[in-house]
Amino acid sequence: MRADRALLGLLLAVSVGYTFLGTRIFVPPIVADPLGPRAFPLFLGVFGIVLCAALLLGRPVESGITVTPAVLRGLAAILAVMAAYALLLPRLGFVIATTGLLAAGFAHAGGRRPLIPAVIYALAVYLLFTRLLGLRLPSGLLPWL
Amino acid sequence: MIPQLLAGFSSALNLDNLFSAVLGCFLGTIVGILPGLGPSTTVALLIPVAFAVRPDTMLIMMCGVYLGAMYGGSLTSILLKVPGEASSAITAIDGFEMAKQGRAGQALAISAIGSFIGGTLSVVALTVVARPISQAALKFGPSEYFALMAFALVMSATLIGRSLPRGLLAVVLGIMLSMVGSDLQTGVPRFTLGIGELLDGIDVVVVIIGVFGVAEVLYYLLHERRAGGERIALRGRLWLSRDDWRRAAAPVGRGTIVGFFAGVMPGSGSTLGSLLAYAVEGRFGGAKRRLGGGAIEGVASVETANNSATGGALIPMFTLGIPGSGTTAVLLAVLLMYGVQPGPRLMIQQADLFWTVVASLYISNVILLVMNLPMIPLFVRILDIPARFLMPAIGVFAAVGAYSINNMVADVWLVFLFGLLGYAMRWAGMPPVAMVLGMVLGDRLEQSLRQAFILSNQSFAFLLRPITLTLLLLTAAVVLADVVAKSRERRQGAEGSG
Repeated sequence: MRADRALLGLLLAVSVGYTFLGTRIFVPPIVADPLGPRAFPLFLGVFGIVLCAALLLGRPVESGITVTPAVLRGLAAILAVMAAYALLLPRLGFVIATTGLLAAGFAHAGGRRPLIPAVIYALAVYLLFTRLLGLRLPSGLLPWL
Repeated sequence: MIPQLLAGFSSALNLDNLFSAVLGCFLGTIVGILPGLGPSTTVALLIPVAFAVRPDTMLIMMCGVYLGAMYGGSLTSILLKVPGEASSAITAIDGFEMAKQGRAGQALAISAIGSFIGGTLSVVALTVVARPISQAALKFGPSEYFALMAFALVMSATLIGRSLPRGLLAVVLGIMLSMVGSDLQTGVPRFTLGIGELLDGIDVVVVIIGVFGVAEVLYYLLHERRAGGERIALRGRLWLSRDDWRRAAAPVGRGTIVGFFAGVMPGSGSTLGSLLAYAVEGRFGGAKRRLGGGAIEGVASVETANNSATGGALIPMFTLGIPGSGTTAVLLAVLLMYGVQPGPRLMIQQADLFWTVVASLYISNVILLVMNLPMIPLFVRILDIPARFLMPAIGVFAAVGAYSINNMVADVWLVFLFGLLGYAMRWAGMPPVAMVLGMVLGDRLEQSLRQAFILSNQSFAFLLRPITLTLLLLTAAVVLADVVAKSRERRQGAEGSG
């Protein structure tokens, strides 16, 4: 399966990069710590390379997940929505950004009036976090909330 | 032990803690019922609550969720043949048959009662063995600890996923992530790419919320296309006849024992416990022939075992600081958030906390029994909520939870990134839970290795200390057993096709 190969290839690249960065860890001349801060990460990087390479040479696994083009399109759409949310969260504030995201999600799931539950849920979560748990969330365009 | 436990009960019964137990049990039952939402996702989403409540209250709520999910999972299995939890998948075999025969009520009743018995007995075992184990572990030096963690991680890598190398790769990835930041012994920055924020390391909580929250949402939205299958209406009394009692008694006993030991083992937990219990029932039980055709024995043993595993799984987490499952890994991360050092000293330094949580486990099992039997008809309605409406709401909760920890939008990006990674790992059959376990244990693994090296005069002689050597040989045996099993499988596969 191609998705399996793609991920293992990516992880192989990550392991190679990790090993390279590992070789550049500064080792202070401290006698008390002979193994130092570099040995273990280097071992990890090399172990990762070996595992990825072995798995790439072996047979792909039956993961039970078929990554069709439709799945990839769906994934790209969801990632775009998530990126938009992360970008807009500090600017518009939690309540507005979340209402937008949820309304889109509910509408996609086939809800008929997506806006009302979205507003209610966003406000409820906002009040739960800010009033009940005493945490801060970006208020954005609605500073009086 | 008894006085501490009684003190634990008195603080577990104060209003805050009792309320959080009830809330946790209720939430847990609901997520147990809903397919696609599990206890590890839920406890991960509850992390921000930690800022508002004391550690004991927090842990009580999270344990309630853990237990509740095991109780709730059976309902969906029995009425829909779709497991609410992986650990209840086996329940569906006989449970759904019982429901088709008009005995859904009895199946649900024995699930709740078996869950209660298994859950409670496993907490009794936890109460009894926790102190001796932590006492013994206090004698462990860094080298023993290193070997113990290596053993736990390799076991998890084998048991959680489908293949040992893929599980190991997930574990290694997690340990790699835990190396980022300033080195604890020398202060040297590692893998920070010159980014100042990374000097403190990657927050394990952010990874957990991403992997257990966002990744699950992605998986569900992209891959679960379940047509609303056959649902059996709830019929039959929610009580058992004398004959049912007689037949279920022995399976409940066997399920308790099998589940408990499966729970103690790292990486196995409730799901493996339920599989093993069913296998034991098929091999040694009196109902071999009827198993699979709606035998109450099949439901009783499996549902007892997956609850009995909960008490077992908490033992290594509390006494050794080594979690073996997703949910216990989140519990450990929360302990760390509160500044509690996990490990055998926890029983001494945080004795009150420990005994309060243990007492709450007894209480939560009672709450769940009381809550489940009469409220089953009500809980059935939860199945009418389509999960695709819930998923965006859960994704938002994950994002806001991550933001609230450090008030940084960067954490929202990180949560999405680790969510994507956790989801993509499933493409290659790599268990995301194994990565979380690697990350939670990674820095302690390295530190104990370095300390052991120093203590044995800068040589690898520490590997030959008796306990260390035993654990390492056990680890090697696990790897070897896996290799042998896989090659035999392959040979049989080749013969079968040839």
